[in-house]
Amino acid sequence: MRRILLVTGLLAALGGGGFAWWHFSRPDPVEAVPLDERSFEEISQKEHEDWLRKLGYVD
Amino acid sequence: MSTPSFSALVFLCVAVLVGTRFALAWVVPTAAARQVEVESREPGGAMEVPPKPAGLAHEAGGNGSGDAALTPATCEGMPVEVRSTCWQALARQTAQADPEEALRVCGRLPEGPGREECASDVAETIAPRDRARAAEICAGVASTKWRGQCHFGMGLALAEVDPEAAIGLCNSAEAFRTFCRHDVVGEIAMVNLPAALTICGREEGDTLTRKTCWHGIGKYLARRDLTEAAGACLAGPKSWQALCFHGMGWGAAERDVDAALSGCAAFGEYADNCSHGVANQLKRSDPAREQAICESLTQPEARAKCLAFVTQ
Repeated sequence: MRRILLVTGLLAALGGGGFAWWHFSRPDPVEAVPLDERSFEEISQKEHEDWLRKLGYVD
Repeated sequence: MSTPSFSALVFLCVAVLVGTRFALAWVVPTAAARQVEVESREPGGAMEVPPKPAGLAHEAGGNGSGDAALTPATCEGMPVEVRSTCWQALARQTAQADPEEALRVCGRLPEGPGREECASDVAETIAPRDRARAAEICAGVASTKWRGQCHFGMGLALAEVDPEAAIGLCNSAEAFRTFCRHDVVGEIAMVNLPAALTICGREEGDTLTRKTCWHGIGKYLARRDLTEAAGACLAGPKSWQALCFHGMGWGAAERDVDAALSGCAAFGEYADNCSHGVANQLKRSDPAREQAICESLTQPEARAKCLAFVTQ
């Protein structure tokens, strides 16, 4: 029984440690900057066209 | 105590691991929270924000202010939640007579978008008589968004007096560059159609930039007179006429949808392009009618494009 608890505890510790390491070591996601806060060059053609169409600037 | 089977041991281990994973995710919810925050800042949200549609001076009848006479004392006496709006209005009111004082008034606003918008308004107001100072003010705006808006506003303010300078300012309008060219050329067309046709005729920029140029002429003139707009569209290159008629439909629909539709019907090969513009303009106010108009179009390309926009 002691072996079982030891193995279980070891695996749990490994799993928990692995999760914590994965969680805290991954980079922060890059936040999308709203279109109107970007420079002209930072907006893709597709984004631009969708934006223009939505606001009635193109067909 | 008897020794449990190997399967039970594996099951126990897996259960503990899975439990630990969810327990940690519950205790440290940052990842999920961050994901929600990122999603809320996707460009889709920003796309709802329209660019400044028209120059402040135009809206205010040219004196830079449509507000009742304000004083610093009036603003100081106002509740906190409307005080910023008051400072901004006071700055606009002051800008024509004393731009530097207007900027000082803007300085009463908390640092950030409000103060930048205020400075942008001052630049737009003074642009026709002191272009250099207006350009300095715009260049001093820190955020890309309001620096772009500032140049956009200057372009609109100069459209009547100096078309070439006005359209040139759009190059500094950042995210609003194409919107700026569309609106500035539209404003120019209202007072000086040959100049507008010359600017669009130079076919500057990428395809989208060129498209919106002709669209602007059609839309702005149709706000005044559909027949005049049709004449202007037909004076442009054949390749952009359909697009110009789309702009016409949009502009005419802003005034009167029924009149726009009956006017569009008279434009022969461009009738569908014009009605397509009317349909698109109804997207927010009357989507059911938008769809009905799209379905009535006979030109396959216009119909497909129109219907695709209905579901977007």
